[in-house]
Amino acid sequence: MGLIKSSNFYDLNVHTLPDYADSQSRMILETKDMGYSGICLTSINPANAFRCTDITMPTLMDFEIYTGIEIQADNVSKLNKYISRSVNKVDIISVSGGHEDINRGAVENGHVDILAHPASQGKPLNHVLSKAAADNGVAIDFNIDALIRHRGGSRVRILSALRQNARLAHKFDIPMVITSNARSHYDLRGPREMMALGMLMGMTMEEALYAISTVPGSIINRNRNNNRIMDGVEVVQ
Amino acid sequence: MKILPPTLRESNRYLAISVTSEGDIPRRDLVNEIFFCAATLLGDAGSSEMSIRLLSFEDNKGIIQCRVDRIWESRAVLATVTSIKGMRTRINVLGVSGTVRGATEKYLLTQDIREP
Repeated sequence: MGLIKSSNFYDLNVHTLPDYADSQSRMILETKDMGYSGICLTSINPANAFRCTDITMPTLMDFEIYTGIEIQADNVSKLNKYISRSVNKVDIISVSGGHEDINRGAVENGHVDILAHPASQGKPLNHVLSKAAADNGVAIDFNIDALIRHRGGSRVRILSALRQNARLAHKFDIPMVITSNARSHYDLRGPREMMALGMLMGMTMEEALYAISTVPGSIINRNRNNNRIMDGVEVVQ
Repeated sequence: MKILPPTLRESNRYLAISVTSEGDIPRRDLVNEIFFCAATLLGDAGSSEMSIRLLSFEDNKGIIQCRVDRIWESRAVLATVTSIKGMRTRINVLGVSGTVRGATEKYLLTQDIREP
């Protein structure tokens, strides 16, 4: 338990105003109360535009706020266009997955940080996509809203696809992240609840803990490090 | 009837919870929803192993008992509760303790002071 207590937790996919109804400050206060040390406020809109949001509250101690965008596209060439437009504008670039072509386009692009809800249509990844994700360092998202928003048959399908993803991620060493994909403060869950749902998706306890603390932390460090040019190239002096 | 000796009793943990909701939640509805979510997520066999039960609930805070080796499953079940009687709801686990008194003193009696 000591390991869990001493970890910093991050939730990298939280949607707020102007895309959904809840204000940024409300989400920030609720997540801080639950014990997170940082969240990423992700823009999601059909225009795929990053909307710079003003947060009308004083900055909090020990709490980091990151900005992100979740890109929705219906074909791969548009997806690549949107990704290159968003590079260097936001901290976290994630892609709304689900369709097999989009999943493939996302894991083969090195600028993408997170492939969000890849199993939302009930289809698991395969070995080709897994290898590409491991090569490009794209993290696979295990969205807990699949478990809390769906009921019955669709939840069963998504859950079994997520289990398959966890198995592949374990085998190919793909970074896994657990995110809430929250659209209102009723969708937020505490870090240990996220871990518990992650363990239902087939992760071990350590994997679930790293998926919510270490892996998001390393994604943020990688993107905030200005000396980094690309994978393996870094300005040392 | 003799009660079971302590060595043969099941070992329990007590989860202190707080419920955030759009309206007032009666105890009866909360219990029904938790059991319904347990049955849909883990099935009858799984939820019988958890032996989950709501011990007290007032003022949107309460204590839930579960088996010591089923804490993670109980947390997962509580996380899947999204609405009670059409009102959107979130159950937040404040902490886990080995005794009812410990859970009450550590997590429920403390005042909730928010930063300005």
